[in-house]
Parts: sequence; C-alpha cells; structure tokens
Amino acid sequence: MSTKVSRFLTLGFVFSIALVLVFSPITRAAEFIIDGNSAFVIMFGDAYFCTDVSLPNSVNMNSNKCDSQNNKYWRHTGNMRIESNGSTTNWAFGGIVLSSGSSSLSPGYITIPIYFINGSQALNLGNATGFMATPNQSAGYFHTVDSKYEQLNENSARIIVTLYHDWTIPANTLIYLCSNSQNGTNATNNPYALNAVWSRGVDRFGVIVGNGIHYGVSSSSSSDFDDTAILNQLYSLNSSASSINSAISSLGSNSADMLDAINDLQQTTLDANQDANDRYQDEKDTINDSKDEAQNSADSMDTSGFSLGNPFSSWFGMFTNNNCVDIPKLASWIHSNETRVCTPWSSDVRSNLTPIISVIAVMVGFGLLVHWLKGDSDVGLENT
Amino acid sequence: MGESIVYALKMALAVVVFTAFMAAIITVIALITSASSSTAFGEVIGLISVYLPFNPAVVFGALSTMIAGLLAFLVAKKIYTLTNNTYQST
Repeated sequence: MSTKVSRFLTLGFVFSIALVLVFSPITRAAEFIIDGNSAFVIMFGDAYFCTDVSLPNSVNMNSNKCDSQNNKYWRHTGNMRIESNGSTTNWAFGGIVLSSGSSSLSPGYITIPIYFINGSQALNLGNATGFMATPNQSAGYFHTVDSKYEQLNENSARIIVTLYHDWTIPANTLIYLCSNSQNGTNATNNPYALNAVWSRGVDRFGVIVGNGIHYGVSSSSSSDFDDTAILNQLYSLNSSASSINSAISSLGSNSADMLDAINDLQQTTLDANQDANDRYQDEKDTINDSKDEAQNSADSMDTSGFSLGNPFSSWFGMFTNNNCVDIPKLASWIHSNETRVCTPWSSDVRSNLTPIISVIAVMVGFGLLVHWLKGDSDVGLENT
Repeated sequence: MGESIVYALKMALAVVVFTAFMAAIITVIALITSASSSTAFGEVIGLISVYLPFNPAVVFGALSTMIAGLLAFLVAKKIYTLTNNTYQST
C-alpha cells in the first residue's frame, strides 16, 4: 500500500471513530437526576413532644421560647426530642429552626401552621413564621412546609410536618420547635424563603400529642437520648392508666392500617415474586437464544469451510441488527444489574441513516477500488 | 492447441489454489469469530452495535462484501501470477 492509501484509510478510520464518539450517547450514562423524592430523605425519629414549661390549659404565644440567645427553645439534637420537665395535654408549636450549632442566622424563613391542642381538639391558630440558621453551610431554603393533623383518639393526636427543602440537613443538626413566632417578625421583611423554588428533599417528622403517647419513626440521625426526659415520660406513662388505655386504643385504631399494610406487603411480595419469575424466564429465554445462536454459528462454521462465501460475513455478523443486546459478562464486570442494553436511537433515525451511510460507505469503498484499478496513482495494479 | 491446454491447466490450477486458499481464510475467520462471539469481546461488539445510529449489520455487511470481493480479486491475481511464473520457469 502506498502512502496515499494508508493516509486515506487512516483518515477514514479516525473519522469513523470520531463519528461514533460524537453520536454515541454512552457518555450520557453518567448523568443522573435528583428529584425531590429520591434524595436527602431524612426521617426524624423517636419523636415525642413534651413541653419545657407547664401549659396546663393555655399557650402563651408571646413567650420567648424562640430566643436562641437565652437558650429558651425546644431543642432537638439527633433524634427528635424535646426535653420536658412536666407533662401536659395542651400545647402548641410553630416556627421551626434549623441550625448547625451556631446562633448566627442566615435568611431562610418558613411558615408553618400553629395548632393549639386542647384534649381532643386541635385548633389552628394560624401561621407562624420561623427561621432556620445555616452557618457554615451551603444553605438552601424551605419553600414548602405542610402539616397535617390526625386525631388518633380522644386524648391523642398526631401531627405530621413535612419540610421541602433544597439543602442537605447535616448530622447533629439542631432543630428548634418554638412556641411563638418571635423571629417571624423579621421573616416578614425577607422574601427569600417565599421565592425559593427548588426541591431537593423531603423531611417529615411526626409527633403525637396527648398523655405521653410517643410516635416513633425511623431516623437517620445519631441518637442523643436524655435519660431524665425518658424516665419522666416512663413515670408519666406508669402513673396514668388512661395513658395505657389510650395507647391500647391507639393501637386498636391503627389495626385497620396494620391490616392494610400487611395486605400491601403481601401484594408487594407477590409482585416481587412475579418480577423474579419474569426475570428468570427472560434469563432462561436469553440462555436458550444464546445456545441457538451458538449452534447456528457452529453450523455456519462447519459449512463455511467447504464454501466460498464471504469470508468476513461471520466477523461482521457479530454486529447485531437488534435494538437490544445482552451483556451479562460486562454487567458483572462493572457490577451493574443492567444485563440488557437497548439502543437509545429511535427506529426512525436508524432506518433513515442506515441506507445513507451504507451508500456512502460503498461509494467510498468502490471509488477507492476503481481509483486503484485505473492505475492513476502509485497504487495501481502495476505496482502490486 | 498445446498452448491452450497448458493455459487451461494453468487456470485450473489457479482456481484450485484460490479455492483452497479462500476456504482456509474463511475457516480461520469463522473459528476466530465463533470463539470470540460468546466472550466479552462479542458483548462489546454488540454494545457498539446498539449504540450506533444505524444498522451495523447492513452497513458492515455491504463493506464486508466489498472487502471480500477485493480480497478475492487480489488472491486470484496473485495466484495466477505465481502459477504463470512457475510454468514459464520450468
């Protein structure tokens, strides 16, 4: 081969590789999407609410419980917990503050409803605006706070607060639940929280208010129990038969939910078994197809030894014309569960590009061949 | 007459040698292909196939036909030349 032909083939090869690299979407596999339901979901757990002051029959909404400078707030570290020095059935909360430990504040204001719990009644007192402090953090903002009140029984209720935020709540984050809206006054002058639109996480925590009934949920934070508070709660439970009764009633009222959960679990198990059977059947079919393909390949190899067919047909026959291909070995090597890869190109694109590229490739190839046979260059037949 | 017979024998010899050579090439390529088709290399080829924006079986099939024709031409020409030179030298 002469220099011209070598150069031509080299350029063609490089161009082909560049074409594949440009149009191949393999690099897109590195992309990932974080939506509001998949990332940073933290369930604050073992949550129970007690009051740090006696609130027998009323709640002083002007108290100074949110004054972080004076350390008068309901504090949570790790597992959600509010220390208590007493028990009551009436209280209210509002104004959630997140902080990484410092009292310095950054703009991040939220608004949540305030409920006043009085026995079996939950009175919505309106909204309170709180703030979150995120020093030394790449802070985001709460942009949605939702709360739901569920009456469990006569003496207990459950409040589920859902926070939608766009930042990762670090470990050992302090969560302040304040009984007033002191800092909400400042929040009204700051529009940032209301304008935040990104959702990167959902945090939910639940509380049960009443006679010491605790509502626990899973937690991703480290434990930081206060034995005194727990003992107080245990004493409260033991000293009150109504608490036990209400607890039993609560469990009874939740039996229907438990049955539903069991049914859902059974259905989920059945679905999982069905999926496993389907995957097994698919793998079995794939293995059978592979065996058939191997047999066909062996048969073609046996006959090709006595024929004068295209010697490169078997080699180029490895390029499949299917839209999907099984890659069990490569998947095992890269520890991926995806053993089947399908083309990202639509059938229209492939069907339209196939004849075009075929014609171009054959024209270029035969053009080179004719140019060679004509002997116009130094690669003519006379030089072979 | 004698030259025609010699020429016919020469062509027959070229055809036989060409047939044997091509059969050997086909067998070797088929062996390599069958050995590599069920390996990770075959999966890589399949992966390339599905990520190409065209049907590679069609495009590469056309190219393989062209390359096969070119190879057959070159082999036949070379064998003819060899047999011709051999006849003239003896």
